[in-house]
Amino acid sequence: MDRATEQALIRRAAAGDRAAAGECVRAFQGQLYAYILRLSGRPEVAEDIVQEAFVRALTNLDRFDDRYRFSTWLFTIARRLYINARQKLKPLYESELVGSLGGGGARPDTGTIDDEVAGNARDEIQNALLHLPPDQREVVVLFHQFDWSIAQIAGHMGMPEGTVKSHLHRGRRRLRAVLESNERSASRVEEVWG
Amino acid sequence: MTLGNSNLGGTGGRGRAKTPPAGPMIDALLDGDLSDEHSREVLHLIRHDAEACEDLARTRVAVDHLRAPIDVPDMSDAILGKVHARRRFLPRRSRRLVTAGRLAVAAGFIGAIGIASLVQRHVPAVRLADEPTPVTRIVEAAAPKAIDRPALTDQTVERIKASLGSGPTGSSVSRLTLSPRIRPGDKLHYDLSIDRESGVVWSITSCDSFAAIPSSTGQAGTDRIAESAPNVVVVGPMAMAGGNDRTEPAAAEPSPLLSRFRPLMMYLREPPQLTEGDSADSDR
Repeated sequence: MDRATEQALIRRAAAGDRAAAGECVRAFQGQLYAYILRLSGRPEVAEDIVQEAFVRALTNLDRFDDRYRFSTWLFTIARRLYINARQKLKPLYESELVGSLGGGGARPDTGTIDDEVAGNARDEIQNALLHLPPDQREVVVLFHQFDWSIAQIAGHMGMPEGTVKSHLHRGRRRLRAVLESNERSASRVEEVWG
Repeated sequence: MTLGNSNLGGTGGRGRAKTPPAGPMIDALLDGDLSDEHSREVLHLIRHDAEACEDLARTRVAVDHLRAPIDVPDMSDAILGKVHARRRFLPRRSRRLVTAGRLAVAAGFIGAIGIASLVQRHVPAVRLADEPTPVTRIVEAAAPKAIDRPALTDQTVERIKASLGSGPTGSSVSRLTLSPRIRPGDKLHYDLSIDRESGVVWSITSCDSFAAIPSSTGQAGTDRIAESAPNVVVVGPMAMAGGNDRTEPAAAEPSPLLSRFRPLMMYLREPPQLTEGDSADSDR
């Protein structure tokens, strides 16, 4: 959606046009849902946050500064909501993360390993992402999935560009390491179980 | 940019350091910091570094998977329902009414500002002085404007002169009815109020035009004043030296100061009667 179309849509939605508001939602819900899903790894959390972010944005359209993109504003609202939700759900997130790491928790059964080996690539990358610290995960997602520039990410996350780059490089290395570790696990399983 | 094999670390193995030497080059390549030429150079150099190639390939696969489309549930109905509960959507006609109403409010606001500016242009605005000023000074400053004292004085003097007649045989006493232009609250009346205690009602000090008025009165004249001027009498400057004793005229010669200013003194027996008419009668 180009900028002029977006602004016209926002103006109509701000004037109370339901159809325009619906178009806004359909235009941006995919990006926003993918963003929060990558960060949280939980579809239900992503759905709740996306809905709340849209509701807040659409009920406060008169505060929207049209010098910026609507998507940027939406991402900012959603990010804040996600950070709040993450703090509330922190114990749950950590226990899930420990379990998924395998080393410190119960040894996964063969069925689970088989599923992981045979699982689709999206699940694999999502699981790998969840092994990254939140800031690294967010930078990797915004840079590689949404093609945001380093400067944009720095503005969005409120940190210097150098820090963003540092998070990006570390996040990528860690992502590679996790993927490599998963591949080795899959090879070992294949060796053992033929 | 010059890349050496030492930078790319071609001897790596699984037991390599955490950050392979090729890492920064791969990061730069993946960050998009390199030009096309440099990107090709890096790719050419890591072609012989299996580990670097593997890292790059794995990263690219991960990125491709990140970009893979995700099944997104349609949340528009749920969202619009929540939004509608908080802030109602308006039908097209109502939106037009709202827009027209907003325009009308804006036009009214602009009109009000315009009217206010016009009014302010034609009506002098109240300006506060830089320094606080005592009220009495403001009254003094405003009084001459309010009653046009010089003009009033001139008129009064002319009427007195006319009523006194001319020459040495003329009367030295005149009865003056105060002008209705002198109203309670005027500066002049203020002076009257103050001087009422001493009997001096009004003194005119700029009275060159009073040269024609006899400057002295005798006892007889004063008696006549008491008889014929129940309210106000006008006497010459000799009365000044007599102080508050209205029935005792002063000495024949006025003091140099009084002579200089030739004051015309008016004595009040009763509070001034403000009348509607603006007249000056002679009482001889």
